[in-house]
Amino acid sequence: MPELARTFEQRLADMKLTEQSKANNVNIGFPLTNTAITQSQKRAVIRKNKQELLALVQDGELMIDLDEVDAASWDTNKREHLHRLAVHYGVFRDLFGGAFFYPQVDLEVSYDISEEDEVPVFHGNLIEPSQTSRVPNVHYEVDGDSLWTLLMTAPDSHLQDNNAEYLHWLVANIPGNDISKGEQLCDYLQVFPVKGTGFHRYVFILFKQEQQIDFRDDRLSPNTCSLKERTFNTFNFYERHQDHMTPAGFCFFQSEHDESVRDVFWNKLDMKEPSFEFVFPVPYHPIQKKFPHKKPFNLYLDRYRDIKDINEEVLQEKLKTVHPFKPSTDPKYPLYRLQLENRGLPSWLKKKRRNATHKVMQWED
Amino acid sequence: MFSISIVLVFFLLFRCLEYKNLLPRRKGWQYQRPTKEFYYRLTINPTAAKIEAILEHSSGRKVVSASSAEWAIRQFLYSGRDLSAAVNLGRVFAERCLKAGIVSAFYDPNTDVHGSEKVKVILKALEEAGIQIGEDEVFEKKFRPGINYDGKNRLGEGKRPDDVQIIQ
Repeated sequence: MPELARTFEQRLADMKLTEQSKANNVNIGFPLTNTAITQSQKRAVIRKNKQELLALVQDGELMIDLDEVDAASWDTNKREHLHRLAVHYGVFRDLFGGAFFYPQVDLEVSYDISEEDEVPVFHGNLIEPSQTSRVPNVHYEVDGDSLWTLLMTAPDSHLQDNNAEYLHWLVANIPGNDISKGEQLCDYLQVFPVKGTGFHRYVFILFKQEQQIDFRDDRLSPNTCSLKERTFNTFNFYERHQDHMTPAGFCFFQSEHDESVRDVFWNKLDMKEPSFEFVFPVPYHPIQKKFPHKKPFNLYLDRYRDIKDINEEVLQEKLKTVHPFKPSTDPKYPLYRLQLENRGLPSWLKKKRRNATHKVMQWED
Repeated sequence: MFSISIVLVFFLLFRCLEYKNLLPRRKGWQYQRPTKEFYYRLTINPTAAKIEAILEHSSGRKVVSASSAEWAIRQFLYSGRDLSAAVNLGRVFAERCLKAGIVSAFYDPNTDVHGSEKVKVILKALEEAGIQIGEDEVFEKKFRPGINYDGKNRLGEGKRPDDVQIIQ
């Protein structure tokens, strides 16, 4: 009908609208610029190496400094590699709805375990929740007087809503490098990945502010232990402040359940610890027919039997060989005995006894 | 003790299931090479100009890569293609994999370069860093006959448990 059917122009316009409403493939950060090194400079370095490193190479002892390589790669390709990893782990998809950014600042976060040891946060490395109990050390190199915002979210941890996140830490209006002088909008809470749900991602994002921003609406009560208050959405948060703030750096780690998570639930959040179990996809059972054509009757009927009856049968078979006072004796050469006893029996019974001896199907302990 | 047991399907992220070897792998390419039955595949490519190590996901996305042609690495090497380059590339690549949270990777031995010294040296560097070469088998639930007529079989079947707590 002409009232309902859209013209070609209308359909194009609708397509463009839906494309625009998605934030997909939009760079919301700073432009990516790599420092260019000229070919002549490179050749000079290579020539120098040929003289200096020859002795080491001949002895097979040339071991380059990995930290120096890491520092040098920041100006060349590390930013693209970080972007690639963030896309792989779905960080941009889940936090910014598909919009991405290339990191400008190398955000270095590390957790102190003891006086000497610390666990750094890179881009997806595995950390235990007990190691994240204290506020981490944050470092990034900064030019002059600038204001920054640091955010730590957990996109996977929300217990009720799949699209919401929990806010673990939010510090705003940070002058330069000094986190302690920033405004604590949300106090730090230890990571609490729920039992049975595998690895959760925890993302640190550093925003560069153009000016002092009023974060009145984003302030939470000090040391909140209310999960409802900590429910957060990075997309909405950034949408409100996008005019004065640009994402400039990120790092993330993954964490799995640990005993310290129980302490967080019991003592800090004041609730019982939830636990989950992985549910396998249920096997498909077609509707039972009275006369199934070309189906093996024993396997077909077993499929639709009550599990209680099957377990009862298995238990009775087991109890035949068990004596309460004598020690258990496993028969010697069970497969050979099976072969002898199976002679002359119908095929379905042979199959059943073979399954029992091999401990397969319902006889698996 | 004081815990609720909720049986729920929790497809948080495919990465989550990959760590537990629960996510099914791409099995349909049984008679074709190279095989696609992996989560992460390690490819080592020593060419005349450089040595490359790439860790790809089965979706085709490159996750971690390192090449001796990268200026960040090349500026510290004597040559971009000799054995010492391979040794150092292996160390850099292993460090990058660990930082990205990679635990194991599938390595296809049916390649021309499989037995070469450079490849061996890179694999050794990965093993020393703690990354398992070769992925574990997928954990599949074995079929057991019978239907539970009294309890739950499918998601959503059955009543909600009594010990439900409202999160404040």
